[in-house]
Amino acid sequence: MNRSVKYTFQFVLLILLQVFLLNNVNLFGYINPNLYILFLITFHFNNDLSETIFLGFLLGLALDLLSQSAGAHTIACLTIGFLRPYFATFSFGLKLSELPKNIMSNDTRVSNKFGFLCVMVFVHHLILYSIIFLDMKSFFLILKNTFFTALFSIILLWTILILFQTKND
Amino acid sequence: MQQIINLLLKRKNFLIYLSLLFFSLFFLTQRSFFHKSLLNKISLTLSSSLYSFKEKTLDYFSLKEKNQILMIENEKLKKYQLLYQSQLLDSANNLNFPFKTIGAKIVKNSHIHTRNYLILDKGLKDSVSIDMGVISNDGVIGIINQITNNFSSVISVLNKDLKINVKFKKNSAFGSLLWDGETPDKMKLIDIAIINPVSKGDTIITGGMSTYFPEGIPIGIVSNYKTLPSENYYDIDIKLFSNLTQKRHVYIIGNENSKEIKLLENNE
Repeated sequence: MNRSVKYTFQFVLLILLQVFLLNNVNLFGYINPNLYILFLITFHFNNDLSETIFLGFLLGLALDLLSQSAGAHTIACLTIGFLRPYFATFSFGLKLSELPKNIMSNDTRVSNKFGFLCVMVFVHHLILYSIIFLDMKSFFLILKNTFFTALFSIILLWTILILFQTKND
Repeated sequence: MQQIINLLLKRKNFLIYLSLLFFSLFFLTQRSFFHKSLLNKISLTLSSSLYSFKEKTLDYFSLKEKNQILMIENEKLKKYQLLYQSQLLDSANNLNFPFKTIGAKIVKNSHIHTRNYLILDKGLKDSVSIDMGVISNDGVIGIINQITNNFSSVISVLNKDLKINVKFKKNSAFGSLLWDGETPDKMKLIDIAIINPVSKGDTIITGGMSTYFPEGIPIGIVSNYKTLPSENYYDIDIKLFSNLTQKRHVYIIGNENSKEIKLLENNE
């Protein structure tokens, strides 16, 4: 119960932060770091993997509805929600059953955590901008947007993760 | 069955992902015109290439049938070509055919009076003018006598006042065709001198000695004839090819040389 309240609070807070604050940053004219995927990164691992698929879908959908975007966030979040276990096993070098519940806690290695974060953010941004532009002519624009926005998102996410470090519970 | 369910359960996450992805795509296309049109374009490309593949494949099975249809069509066209060529040879010295045609529809038709008129749906706007001839697919209809902007009135051949210059197809002996006001499929041919041989079944065509009709339009056949003892002319009954009571579509034909010919006639 305690955990679900915590996640609900986190879910709502991240969406509000993203919509009302971070979407208005417009660094260098186009960079809006996406903090809200922090929810999918820090969400605990358990046996039910379909949970994150639904939650990713809901997260993206809420963001799309609130920020009046078409549906790119939904697809991007849904996809990384689905791919999250594969990224985690890949980054941490462990089997799915061996993964700790809270993979972003102090107990796991920094390099593994950072790798997982980078993969999640890059894949998310790549899907996001591919769907927003969806045009072969804007291929380099997609890459540029993905790279720089992902860079700033990673800096922000990493900072937040250091500030709010948690123990494995 | 059990195995299928097991497989589905094993792939549960993937299936959830796929279904949600479809929902998101639907959501995306509903909210963005750009994505919607792009998706439509993709589906059009896919379906059109599939259908064209299917068409190309199925085409091979109907080639024999199509060849036969084309063969029949070719025979028909060849016939017309030969006909056209022979006509060109016949009138090699008269290549500039001065008649133009305008298609028209009959608005009102009559055949019960002794002086019958028709009304057509073409008028001044369609460059119809007075004294143009009117023919149908199988015979002569009459001559235009009045026009308004959109309509024109035609003196029917079934009118006691109208005489048409006709001739025999076999020997070009010419006379005048007129209606005696009896039945709409019979007319009288007069002014054929008895020196010309006449027999039942002879074909009558337009004579080309007026500005109204070009030469050679088939009109009817001789159904009966008699010689009057006191005169030098035949009295011939003609049965018309066309049924004037059932016509819907006609052609107005204008002679582009009619003005010049009229001028000459007036000078005489």
